[in-house]
Formats: sequence, C-alpha cells, structure tokens
Amino acid sequence: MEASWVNVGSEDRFAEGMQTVAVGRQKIVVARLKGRLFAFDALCPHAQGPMERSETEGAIVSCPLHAWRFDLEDGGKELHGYRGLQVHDVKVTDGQVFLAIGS
Amino acid sequence: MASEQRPSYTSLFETVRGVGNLLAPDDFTYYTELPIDTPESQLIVHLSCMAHYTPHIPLLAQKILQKIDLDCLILGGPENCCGELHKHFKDHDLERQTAKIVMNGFRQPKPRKVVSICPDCDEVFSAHGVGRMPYQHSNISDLFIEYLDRLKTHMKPVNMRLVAHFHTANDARQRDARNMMTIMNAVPGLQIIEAQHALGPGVHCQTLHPMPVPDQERMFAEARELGAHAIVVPYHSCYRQHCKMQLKYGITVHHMFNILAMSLSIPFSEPFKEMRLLDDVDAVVEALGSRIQRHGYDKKLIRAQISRAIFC
Repeated sequence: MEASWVNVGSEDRFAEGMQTVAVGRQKIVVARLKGRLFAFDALCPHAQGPMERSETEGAIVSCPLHAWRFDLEDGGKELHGYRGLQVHDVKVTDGQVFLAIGS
Repeated sequence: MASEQRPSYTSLFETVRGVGNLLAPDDFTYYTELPIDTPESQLIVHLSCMAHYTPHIPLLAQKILQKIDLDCLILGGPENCCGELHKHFKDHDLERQTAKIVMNGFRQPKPRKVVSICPDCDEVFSAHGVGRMPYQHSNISDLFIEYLDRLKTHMKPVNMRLVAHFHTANDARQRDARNMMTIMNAVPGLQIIEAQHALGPGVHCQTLHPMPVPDQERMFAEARELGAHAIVVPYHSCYRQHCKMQLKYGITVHHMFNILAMSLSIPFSEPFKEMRLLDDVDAVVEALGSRIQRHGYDKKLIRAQISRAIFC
C-alpha cells in the first residue's frame, strides 16, 4: 500500500523531545532528537510500553518498561534482535510537518 | 547537596542483559517471551532482573525439580521485570503497567503455580493483585516445601555446620525463613547452629538497602566463633552481598539450593561467586574475556556493567 502524507501541524509545535499525535485511530510519537525529526508508533511492539517516554541515545530510543532498543536510523530495528518498531517517514514542507502513514 | 543522578532504565536493563549473559552457564536456558504454541505447563519459575547475576540459582531449582520428575518453564530477562525498578524510581504508572504485563503473561501456559526467586517480585505482584490471577503465586521456597517429602527420598547426608541468615520484615519473609529452616532440617547430616546475629534487614539484602557492614561483620565473626563451615541464605540478593565475606572469614556462603543440590548429588558451579572472589574488576574482565568476545560486547562498557553488578 502506498503511504499517504498526513499533516500533523506546524514545525514549531515539535520542540526538542517527544510528543504523541493522533492520526485517525493511530497514535504516533513525533520526536525531535538533536534537531532532527523522527516519527514512530506510540506503543512498543513488545508489551505496548509508552514510547513517548523513551530514553534516547542519539537516534536510538529505548522503551521505559523493559529497554527494548530501537534504531530510528535503521528502520526501527531492535538492537537485541527482537521485533522492530514501526517508523514513519517525516517531511517538512512550508513549515508544516507531514508523516507518511500506511506505508 | 546535589541529588544522586538516577541511572536510566536502559543502563540498568542492559547491565542485567550483559552481565547475565556472561555469567549464564551453558545449560541455562529461559524464555523472555513464550512462543504462541507453548504447551500447557503446571509450573513457572519467574526470574527477576538482578537474579540473572546468580543464574546457578534458577538452574539448580530446575535441576532439583527434574530430580523428582517435575518440569517447569523459566521466564526471565528484563522482559519479565516485576516493576520493582519502576517502583523504586517512583514511576508508579510504569510499575503498574509492568507488573500487569508480566502477571498476565504467566497465564498463557495455564500454570497451576508461579514461583518467584526474588522477594521484591513477591511484594510487587501482591500489591498489584496477583491473588486474583487464575494461578497460585508464591516465593520459590514454598514450592520446595510442597515437594519436600519426595525430595527427601533422594537426599544423601551433607556434613556441614551452618549458620542460617534470614529476614523477618513481614509475614511473607517470615514464611520464607521458616521454609528455609524446614528444608535445611530435612537434609541429613547438616548441623544448624543457633546464632544471635544472623538476622538481615528489610525484605532482603539488596543493592540499595544492604545489610549494614557492621552487622554483616558481626554475623560472620559469630559464625566463625561458633565453628560454622558456611552461612546459608534464602535469597539471591543476600548471596550476592555476603559471598565476598568468604575472603575475610573463610566461611562459605551458600544459597539454600546449593545445600539441597549437594544433598541430591547435583553438581553445580557458582559463576557469580567465582568472579566476586577474584576481588578485582579487571581480573573478572580478563577471566570472562572469551565470553565477552563471543557476545561482541564493548570492553569498556561491559567493565562498567560488571563493576555495577558484581562489585556493588
């Protein structure tokens, strides 16, 4: 299925850190990490931990429940070999942030 | 006064994974998640996070049960954290979520009984309603009481003079202390010596609330005066704190399963103790060198983890 780009708001809305946005029934975390924007599913694929409260190390985010660790620069790959995290492409056009949904 | 910086969950859980993997005997296996097609199992042994530093304890539990033809599933890893770490850092919503996840996860193979190695897990699960689950949950000492008569038929004498270390912080811990004494009294040849200074603090001796050093010294000095060969402890955490005292007092520290295993002629090694008694973090890194290499661990990072886990 081809992804559709969904506008989730103005770029200034997403300061350094993480926040969850709703896209239809889907909850997605938009994270600005050292200035770069990333987007990924709001629930950890292990036990539905709250990814908005992830600990971060560069572009690696760790679920706070059991520290499954996901590399956002490698498609959300889990570093211990467990299931990966769904990541979404992000683009900024005319100051607006768009997420690729349904890819 | 500057407040102590809180370690991240990532660093804590990665230490459990890293050091746990390095110390795990080759024949120690456990599930972090149960496969969807896991057959029903009567019994689950649950490992808490820090219990991975002393993997011989759950391994012995499994081997002791096998001696009487009982099988069990072992569930462990940070994936089965009870929520105690989150509780400690006052992240109570995460604590609740973590506890519920693991307690619900136990239901999958429809066990009759789930036993935990660590008393903190007992306390957290009790606080989050494990009593309403469709299985019984208790500390692992209860399980060995249940099967003690069957175990007795396999026991051989262990000629040893012991002081028993114990905790009495609440009813559950008093029960564990009684269980340990009942199990030890069932082992032929053991002589358990009455001591005045063997009571531990709190729920158990743990990293953040260890037995105070003066009390620990009193316990070992008394044991030596009484002519004890060993101090037997009920919990993995007490074992971790006290086993280094062997260097100063020449008194061996045994987890109660060690004694049971000796009586049942089950051989075992004690990787944590072997490493702790090296008494030097670099010596441990060297001793574990081939395993560190096999796992591809960063030497500097794993050294820090070893220091935190073994020399705390």
